Amino acid sequence: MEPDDAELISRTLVERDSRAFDQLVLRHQSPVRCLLRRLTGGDESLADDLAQEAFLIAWRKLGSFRNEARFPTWLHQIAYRAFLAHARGRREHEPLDDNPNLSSVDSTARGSDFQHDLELAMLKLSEPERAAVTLCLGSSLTHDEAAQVLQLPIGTVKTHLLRGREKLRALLAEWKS
Amino acid sequence: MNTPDQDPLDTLLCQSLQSASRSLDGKMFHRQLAARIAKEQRRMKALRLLPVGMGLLAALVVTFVARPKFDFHIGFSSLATFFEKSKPAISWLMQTHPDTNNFLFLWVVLAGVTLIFSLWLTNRETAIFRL
Repeated sequence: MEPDDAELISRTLVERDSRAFDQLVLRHQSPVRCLLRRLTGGDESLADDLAQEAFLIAWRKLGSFRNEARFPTWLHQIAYRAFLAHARGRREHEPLDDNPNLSSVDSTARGSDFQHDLELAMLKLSEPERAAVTLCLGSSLTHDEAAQVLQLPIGTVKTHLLRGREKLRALLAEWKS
Repeated sequence: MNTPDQDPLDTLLCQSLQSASRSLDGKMFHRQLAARIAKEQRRMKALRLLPVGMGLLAALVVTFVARPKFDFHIGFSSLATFFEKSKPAISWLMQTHPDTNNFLFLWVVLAGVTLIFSLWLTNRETAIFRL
């Protein structure tokens, strides 16, 4: 049986077991990187840099994790903050790019037509909508957890999720048949 | 977890989003992260050793450069006045060990500087780690 997150965290902190943290990374890297890829408009390299930064912060601050939230929620929160910090820095130095690079859609999506269309459709959502849809539908976080990650009221998250979902349904309507 | 509606498109949407969230291979990512963590560990170790190194360097400078040139009795007396309670002990030391007085004063100053530097570093560390 695989050890749960709490046990791996405890082993990392108490026994200084680096393999336990490795397991945490391998277990949670995919949803975190996926969220960041969508937030960065499909920029894989930037998203992975931010994900590395997020995991590094998580490693440094693991001792302050108090189990008040689930570990994935805490991790997504760090990743989202890393993205916001990067976006703030970028806004100060460069004008905002409102047109995400549609050609840079996740290479893993190219294997499936629907997946490819979905990634393109995701890029047409607003940033909060993309985040809410990815967190609630992709990473399976509850509305409450997504609200914690995005630091928004739960009602706002639900609205973003609803709007995002509706937009996706409209954009992917041809797949209905 | 948010349950998908019965609509087939909605179901497909949720399944695809979930599968995309789980599909990224983490081997290369993990290798790069492990290298960054190892680098970070070395940096933190170096930061912890820095005050000790600085203290030793300062001690060497004081021993071989400053001591022959300066008389530290003035500073030593000021310190004794400042710390009234320590005065008898320091006075006794001044009288009984005239040759070691300068060293003692220097070591007190060095210990203070090292302590302040360590505290500043610790504070800086926590500031760096704060989000």
